[in-house]
Parts: sequence; C-alpha cells; structure tokens
Amino acid sequence: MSARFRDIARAAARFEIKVVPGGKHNRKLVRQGYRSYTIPAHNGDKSEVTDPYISGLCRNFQIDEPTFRKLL
Amino acid sequence: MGRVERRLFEAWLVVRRADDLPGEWVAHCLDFDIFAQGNSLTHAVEAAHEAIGLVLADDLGAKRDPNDRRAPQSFWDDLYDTIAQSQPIKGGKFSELVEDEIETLVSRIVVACNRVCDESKVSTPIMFEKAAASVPAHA
Repeated sequence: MSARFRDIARAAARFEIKVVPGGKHNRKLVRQGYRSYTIPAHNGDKSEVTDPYISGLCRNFQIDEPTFRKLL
Repeated sequence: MGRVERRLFEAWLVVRRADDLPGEWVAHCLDFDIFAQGNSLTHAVEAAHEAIGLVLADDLGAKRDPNDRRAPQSFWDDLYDTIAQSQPIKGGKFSELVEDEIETLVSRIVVACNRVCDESKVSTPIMFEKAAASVPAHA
C-alpha cells in the first residue's frame, strides 16, 4: 500500500535514517553504515510513494518490513 | 580541476503501472535494486536515471561496488518471464512509446558515471546518460 513521503520520512527517522537533498525527482535517504537510497519526491512532502518502493527501502536498510509499515 | 574518471554501468530497468497509485508508473532497476516513479512512463524512466545516478555517485564516492546492490532473485525470475512473453521494439526510444499499448516495459540501460578525482577527494558524478532498446510485454 502506498504512503506519503512525509510519513515514510518520519518512520525512517525512527531508524536513524535522514532525508537529504537529491535531484529533481528524488531525495536521498542515508543511514550510517548503509548505502544511500533514493525516495521519489516529485510533490515534496505530499508525494505518494508506491508499495514496491517501501519494500526496497526496507531491504536496503535491513529493516523488518512489517515493523516499518506499522509506523506509517 | 582534477582528472575525470568515467565508468559505464549497464542495468535492467522494468517499468510498470503502479498497482496502488492510479496513473503512476514504477521503474525498478534490478541491478542496483532502486525504485523510481513518475506520472508517465517517460517520467518514471527519467526519474530512474536520476536515482541510479545518485546512488552510483554515493557508492563510488564511498568506494563501494554498486553491483552489490542487486535485487533479490525473485525479481530476476520475473524479468526473465516477462522477456520470454514480450515482443521487442526495434530501435525504440522512450519518448516514442505509446503508453496505452504497454503493460510492462523492460529495457537494458546504460548509465555513464563521470566523477572528478584529485589527490585528496572524489567529487560526485557530473553526468549520466541513457541508451536503451525497449521491450514492452503484453501480459
């Protein structure tokens, strides 16, 4: 199920993941000791982000996906 | 200005309509397990190129191998199934594709990553580009 950018950013912050500037279409999520990951942000904080993206985020940062989704 | 180092990366990109967001397209780069989305197929591809460029920049800057980002095998199995059921578009350009005729787009893309190096630091890439042959699937 999709989620808004701001909700994902808030949930990610619980895992010490920070949002940093990226490019025209994307921002970046960074967490110490992990590879960075991009997040779609065409419409700023209101951007709706698709479900597969959230799964990919959890894979990248080795976060338990059900736990993360409960925070959205 | 330091020396410019150029590396080419090839990757598979799968673009589909988003199941959970009407009107949105989702692009998944399997080689780097990066997702992007857009309100059109072309927009999603453009966003994917940007996203790939950003992670390549970070990985190369941190001296990490971007090829270690591969998506799980299940995504690759889906890719091979999609290709087996697809019809190729010869010389296809993303901008010329008709979205209504496409269920899934599978494309091999090339990303060129330039970075400026000197003795003490490595800057972020300054350019990436795309080239592709496109294959829509009729699922």
